Amino acid sequence: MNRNPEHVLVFRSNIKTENDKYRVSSLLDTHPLIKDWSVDTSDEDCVLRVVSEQLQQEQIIHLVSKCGYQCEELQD
Amino acid sequence: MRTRDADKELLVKQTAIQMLVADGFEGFSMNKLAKACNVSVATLYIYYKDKDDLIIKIAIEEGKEMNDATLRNFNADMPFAEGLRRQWENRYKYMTEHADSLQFFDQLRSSTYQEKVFDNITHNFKEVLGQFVLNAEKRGEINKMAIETYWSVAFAPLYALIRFHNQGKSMGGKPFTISNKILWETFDLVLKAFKK
Repeated sequence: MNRNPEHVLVFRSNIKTENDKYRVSSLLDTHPLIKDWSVDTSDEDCVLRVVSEQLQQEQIIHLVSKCGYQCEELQD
Repeated sequence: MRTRDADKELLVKQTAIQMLVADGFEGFSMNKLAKACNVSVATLYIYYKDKDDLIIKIAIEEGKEMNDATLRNFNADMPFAEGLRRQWENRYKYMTEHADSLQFFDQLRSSTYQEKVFDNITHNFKEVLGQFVLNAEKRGEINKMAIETYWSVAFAPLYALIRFHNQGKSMGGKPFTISNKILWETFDLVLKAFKK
């Protein structure tokens, strides 16, 4: 059974402000395998949500770290 | 609900509406909702981007459900009195069974979510009800009037009664429970107002 039919990956992050969001957008917006992404800056965990059929969690974590930010899997 | 689970989704929707009605938009958070529903925050974020996305999606879904319930066994060609009676039955049933939804929509109407929600749910609804009034005018059952006049006379009395009922009290805190007698005697007066 597909555990995640929507292909959504969610992370706790330190992307807290609009400026932070802008800085990660340079890589996430242009990535060909990312269909959609968003950060809920109103949430205490600043949840980063990425929609991608192909990318794995580790790849997203790596991408975000390249922009100078951290994220980790939001546990069930 | 990592895999789609209809029961969990319904629970999330109903709990969210209850919390929004009780605590308002400001007091509501994804974390509180997850706790109240006993699902993980991660699970909520699979389906919703953030609090705004959740509120808008839930409101649109609930609005569509309310419109479907209102239009059940109704069509624009019904004779005026019969069609209006069906509308009253449907609205009365839905709004007494979903008291929270009625309050939720009142909150939405005076919020910044208003445009995003109501533009999405009222389209077909307005068309059918508009056509119903137009047909009644054409058949000479009622006078030509502004749709707002029609709506106010046709439904404001019903909504006032439902509000009294859902709050359990009427003017000046007088205890109140709606009865069939009160409902239909009010309806008869409304119908009288439309008669030419």
